[in-house]
Amino acid sequence: MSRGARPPRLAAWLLRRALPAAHREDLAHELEVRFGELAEREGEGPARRWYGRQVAAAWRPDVYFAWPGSAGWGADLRHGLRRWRRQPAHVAACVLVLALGAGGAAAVQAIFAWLTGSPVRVPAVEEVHTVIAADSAAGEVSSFGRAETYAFAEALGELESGRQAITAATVRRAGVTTHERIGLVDEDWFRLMRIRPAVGRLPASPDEVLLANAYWRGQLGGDVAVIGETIHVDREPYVVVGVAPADFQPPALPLLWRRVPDVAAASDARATLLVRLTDEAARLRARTRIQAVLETIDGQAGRAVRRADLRGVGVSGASEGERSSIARAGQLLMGLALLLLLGGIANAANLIGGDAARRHGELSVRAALGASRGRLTRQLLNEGALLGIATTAASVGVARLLLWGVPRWLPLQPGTRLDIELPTGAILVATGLSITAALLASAVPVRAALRDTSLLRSRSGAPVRTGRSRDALAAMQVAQAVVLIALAAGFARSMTLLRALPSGYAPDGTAVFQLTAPTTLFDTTRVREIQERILAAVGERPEIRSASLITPVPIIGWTPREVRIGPASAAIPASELRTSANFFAAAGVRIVRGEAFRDGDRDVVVVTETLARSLHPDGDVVGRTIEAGEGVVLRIAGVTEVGTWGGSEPAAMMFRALRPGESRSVAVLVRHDVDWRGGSADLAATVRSVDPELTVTVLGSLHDLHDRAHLLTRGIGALAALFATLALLVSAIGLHANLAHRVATRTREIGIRIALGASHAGAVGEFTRSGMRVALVGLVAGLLIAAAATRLIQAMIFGVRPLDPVVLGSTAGILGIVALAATLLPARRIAAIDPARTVTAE
Amino acid sequence: MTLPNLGEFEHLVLLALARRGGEAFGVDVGEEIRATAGREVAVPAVYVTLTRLEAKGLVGSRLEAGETGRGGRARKRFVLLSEGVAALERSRDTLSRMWSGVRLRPEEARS
Repeated sequence: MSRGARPPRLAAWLLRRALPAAHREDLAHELEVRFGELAEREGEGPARRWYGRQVAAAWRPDVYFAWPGSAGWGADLRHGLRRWRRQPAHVAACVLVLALGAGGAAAVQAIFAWLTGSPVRVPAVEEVHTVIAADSAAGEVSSFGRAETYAFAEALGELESGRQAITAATVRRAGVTTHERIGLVDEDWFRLMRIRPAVGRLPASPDEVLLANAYWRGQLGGDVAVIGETIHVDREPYVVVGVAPADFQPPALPLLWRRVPDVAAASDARATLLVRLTDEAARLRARTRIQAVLETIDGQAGRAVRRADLRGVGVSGASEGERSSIARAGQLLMGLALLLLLGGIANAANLIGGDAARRHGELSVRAALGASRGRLTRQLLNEGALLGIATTAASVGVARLLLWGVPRWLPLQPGTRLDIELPTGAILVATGLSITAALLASAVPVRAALRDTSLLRSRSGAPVRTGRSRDALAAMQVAQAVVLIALAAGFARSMTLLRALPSGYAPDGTAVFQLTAPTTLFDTTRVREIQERILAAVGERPEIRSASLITPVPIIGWTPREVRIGPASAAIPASELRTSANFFAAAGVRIVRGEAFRDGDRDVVVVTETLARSLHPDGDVVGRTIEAGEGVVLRIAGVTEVGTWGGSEPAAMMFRALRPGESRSVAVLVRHDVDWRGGSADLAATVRSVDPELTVTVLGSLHDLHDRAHLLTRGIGALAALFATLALLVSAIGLHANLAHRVATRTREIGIRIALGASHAGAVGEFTRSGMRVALVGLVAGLLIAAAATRLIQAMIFGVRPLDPVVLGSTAGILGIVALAATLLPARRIAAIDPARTVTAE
Repeated sequence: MTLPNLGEFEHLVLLALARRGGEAFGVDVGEEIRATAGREVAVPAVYVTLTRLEAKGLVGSRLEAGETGRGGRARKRFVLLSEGVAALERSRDTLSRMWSGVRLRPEEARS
């Protein structure tokens, strides 16, 4: 370290800002020289710490007591805190209304960040690509069977490659067994991903595992003693040898990774092939080279192959279309939160304005003692900044509360635990919005309070006239509450209309369970036996009317197909569900023509009326054959009624016969007596009793699956309803405060009027009408804005027009009732006015 | 010349300057106070006090060419003048006379 060592630039800049002009250069130079001496003598660390203490001391008025000007800041803050102690309710109200909006915006930002998935954090992730094949029958797939992945090995050449599969498994540790997601990887995968363990080492043999960092910190307390412990996966013991680094977050983060010699053979989930150019290859040539290699694979695989950047696969595995929907939803929610914040600013400005009016005497005295307008403005804005700091803390609390509550309101899969964290970005959002909002809320009344040129001449206690501006603020709050209520009502009505659409099935009295049979524990024969025994066991229960196997899970999943009724006809997109014969009875699906297939039938389908009309508009499709992919010919045995199957329009569905054992991952759909009050857990226990090693997941009823299919809309609707409730509360506070201030400042006038013959009831009526006039202005403005806003969200709601009378009527009704209550409460105080005491009081 | 009365902090600053042999840079005075009196002081506060004492005629200063610094800027070294020494002695004597004969109450003696 040389004598020329300089203090950090930011610290030096801060120090200069704190120094008065007369001594700035000398002192700054003096301290810089001393920094250099310290750095040479003791090191740069101690020198920086010493310099930091000097900067902190320069900004602390109580240490720097002789510093002219510094006392002002400290005095303003101390004065502000003293005033807070005298008016805790007023401060709490201001902080609350601001924090609701800022906290809501921060929570939305956190939810949005969570929904779009944490960025995939893998070293040099842009170099890692997933190989995706186009399969005309199934669409694109990113996983391959055993023979395929090893057939690619020869062609890979210049590429590093690794294989992984994510699968479900039972994990037992410390006597506790849970069902978790694990990763099966080959030895090349660790090198491909460039992992350096945070603790321990990488697995070197198939009986060793690497733990995910989030699991290690969250469930095991970050205890390094876990290294060397034995953990059981699917009843087999494995030794924990390491923990992945905290910043390693590949898509679909599993609990642990297990190394296997043959990924595709070890898992019932198909293996994904990941590739990366070796370090020696030029990065600029990466895409071209990979494409050329994959075209070689194309020739071998017999189908088009492409690669996708690993970053394209988010944590949630959302598709491009889903992410686009989520982005729109996030923008809408942020708009709602900012609208709430705007209302909060208006409300806080109203409250602070009232307070500023009461402080007119105090401000006049200060002005008389020599304080300039600038000094008074600085004082009031400093108090606003203090409010902003308090609001920041409160808004972080509000955001955390919302993030705790939102997962509990959403219709998630039973047993799903959702913990959404508040990231640093969201906290910064809350901080910025809180301080900005508090300063804005302070600026309006400050300007109003100081605009009065009689400030220097008025008698102590004379009120400042701020009536019109406060009415405008109150009307603004009402308008924003109306917009939020209308949007929430729109979402609620949309869900109601969706539920009223003919679904195509009978959701009451149903229960759905997902079964997963790990390859390591269940061979094909055992899978078939298990599924047959489950159907028999469930069917034996007296309350069960029918039970069926189905894959994938209905309503929230389907297999896309393209079907043709003849070789020359156009391909029609359809959604396929594979089911056993009892499905139609279990789901309550009505067959309108033909018949359902029977157990044992092969290559037989039943289609919905919508698909039937698309295939053959002029005739009947029953008995005819269709092609659903290469070499797949199916006979249509029957046609069901029209139904939306969880969507917003009639669905083109086909139901294809499924025999037990044909698929490992199936769902069981049961229909029970409608008046049976037992729970899904009871039925799940019956299913589990068939084989305890089977993974059984309770999904709920067909109603629940329908709600889950519209999770995004329901989630937005729930948040919109919450924001609307908060906005209603804020606007009620604003209306109440507005009218209460008016009553308080005109008490003498009212007393005189009553003494001269006016009635109490008349005065109450007059003030109530004035308050309701403000609410009416806000209502009309809000309804107009709401109609325009509804037009913007048409893509997200169903069946709700911009001027929907039900929505607008319910909004006006709710707002009217709340506004009336908010204005009547303070107006009633007029009834308690004693004119004799009021007239004689000074 | 009538010697001005010293404030408490002015007293500390002058004493620290005296402990440094009567000459020191502003930063050194602050460090002397911190090391000897165990009191954290801000260098700018020391600097302002020295400037005020200079205005009172108790302290002088001279510029010295610095070994380092932006553009070779000079540093100000403060010097304790004879008037400053006299003010210190007077302040010490005053305090001694005030302390003389004072018996602190037992509670105060223990605190």
